[in-house]
Amino acid sequence: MTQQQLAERVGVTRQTIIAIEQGKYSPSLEVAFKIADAFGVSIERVFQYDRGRK
Amino acid sequence: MSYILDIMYVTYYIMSAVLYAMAETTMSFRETSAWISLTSILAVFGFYFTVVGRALSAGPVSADTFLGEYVGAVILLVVLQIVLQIIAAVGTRIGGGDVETARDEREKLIELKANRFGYFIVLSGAVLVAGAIGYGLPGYWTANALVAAVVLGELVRFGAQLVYYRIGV
Repeated sequence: MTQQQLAERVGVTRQTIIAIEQGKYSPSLEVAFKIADAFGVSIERVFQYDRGRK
Repeated sequence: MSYILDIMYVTYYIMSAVLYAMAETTMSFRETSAWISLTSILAVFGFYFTVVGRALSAGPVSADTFLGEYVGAVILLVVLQIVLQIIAAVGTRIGGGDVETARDEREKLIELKANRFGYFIVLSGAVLVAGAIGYGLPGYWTANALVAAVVLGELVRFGAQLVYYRIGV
């Protein structure tokens, strides 16, 4: 799945997907669930909480 | 007339750099749009305040001296924005980018955060000008100080948007 395809499925721009991948943006729960749903996995398979990160 | 040509040249020069960067990076249409707004406001009102500054340094002027220049600057800014935004939209579309998708949550957050900075500048400018009126600030100074506050607020707002687009939000 390309970034553009994922963006279209989730309903955000491709740049937002890129920002999430690069750790420059933490998505809302809704978008996080949509991303996990797009991959057909649970949310914790895609997102993990990083204690060391502000 | 030469001012208009100068403004168009500067805007064209800056926009060429922006469009080149847009093609080379992952710049979104809205980020490009913010660049267009920033550069066109900077170019048009940069020249406007150059003209105003020269006139004011030459001595006192009447209250409506800069009305023509101001109206001209606003019209020029609107025309420039429309033309450049259309070019950016077409360029983004040709490059396979997304133009139609509504603002997503990240873009809305960036705009909201950037608006705070712009609002602070405009509000500070308005308070300062209001205080200065009490000390007898002439009408043409008042008007131009308010225009300067709005222009500076807009520059800060679009500048903050561009920073957030790059460093993250």
